[in-house]
Amino acid sequence: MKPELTDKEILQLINLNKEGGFRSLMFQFQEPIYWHIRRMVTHHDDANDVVQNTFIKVYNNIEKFKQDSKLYTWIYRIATNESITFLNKRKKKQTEALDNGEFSLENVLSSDPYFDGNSAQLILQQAIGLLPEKQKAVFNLRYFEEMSYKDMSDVMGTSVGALKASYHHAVKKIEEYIKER
Amino acid sequence: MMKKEIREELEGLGSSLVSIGNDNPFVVPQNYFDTLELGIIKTDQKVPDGYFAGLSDSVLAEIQPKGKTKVIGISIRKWAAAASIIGVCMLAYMSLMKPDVVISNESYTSFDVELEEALDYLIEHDDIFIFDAMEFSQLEVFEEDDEELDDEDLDAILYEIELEDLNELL
Repeated sequence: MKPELTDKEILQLINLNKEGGFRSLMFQFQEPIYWHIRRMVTHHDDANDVVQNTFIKVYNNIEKFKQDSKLYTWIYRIATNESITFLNKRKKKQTEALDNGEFSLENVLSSDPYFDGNSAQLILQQAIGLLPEKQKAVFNLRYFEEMSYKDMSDVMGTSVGALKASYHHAVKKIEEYIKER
Repeated sequence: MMKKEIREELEGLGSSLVSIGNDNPFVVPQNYFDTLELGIIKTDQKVPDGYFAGLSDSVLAEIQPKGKTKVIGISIRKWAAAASIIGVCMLAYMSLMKPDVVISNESYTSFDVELEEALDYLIEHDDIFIFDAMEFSQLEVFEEDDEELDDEDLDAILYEIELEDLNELL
């Protein structure tokens, strides 16, 4: 069981010794942040790259954190933005691959040694993969990470009402996709 | 196990996603999280070995194919600038020297006067002593040959000069 440090304690540690304090921050947040990113980008290698970029940004900008939100929602926000940026770049490349019939999420996940889901989970991931990037982030934060709408609002910079509507639309789209299969 | 709040929300939407559940279907390589923070702290603000050594080459390689502009080296530019300055100086010098040099009420352009003509002129005019003209001539020769009289040469010259001539000069 990891000892939970408060935001204040982590920031104090960083003020005393940036590298040492940052290790504490990573120790506390690296796993949830990795899983959030992994659900967004699917592949472990891609997730690893985005995780690295995310924590480098956290390290370089930690002095700018104003403590008007929770530290974890601030890091989630950076991670979400990094993931969406990555997905937009990948989409451009995949458009060409799709045209050539080279890319299929089903094929990619089936052959991924780091995917251990059953057939229902495979179909669910395919359905999530078809959502727009922001809606995908909203669905993952609520469905898998069980985050409150208040915290999701801090992460996404969107109102609670808009997030609820987005989540409900995402659930409907996924239901329809599963029924068609 | 899905949180009650999330499950009830899905059921309220009439969704069958509850039956799939929200377990994580992904896995990570063994010991991945044990080394993640080390990788990030090492990565931060560092570059691969030899990155800067090859940076200029890679940047130039990117630039050259795009623009086919002829690149003139800095040394050529320097030479061109130097040649221009010398040319301007020579023109200025020539324009300054162009006015005629007045010698004994007759005018000659300095570049037109040959040494022999000058000596002839001096010989014909008694107002300039012949020895001065000869001395002038010798001086020019020595400057051209970049040599100086040594003791032997001086002795030879003095031997040829008559004592009477020397007396006239002194």
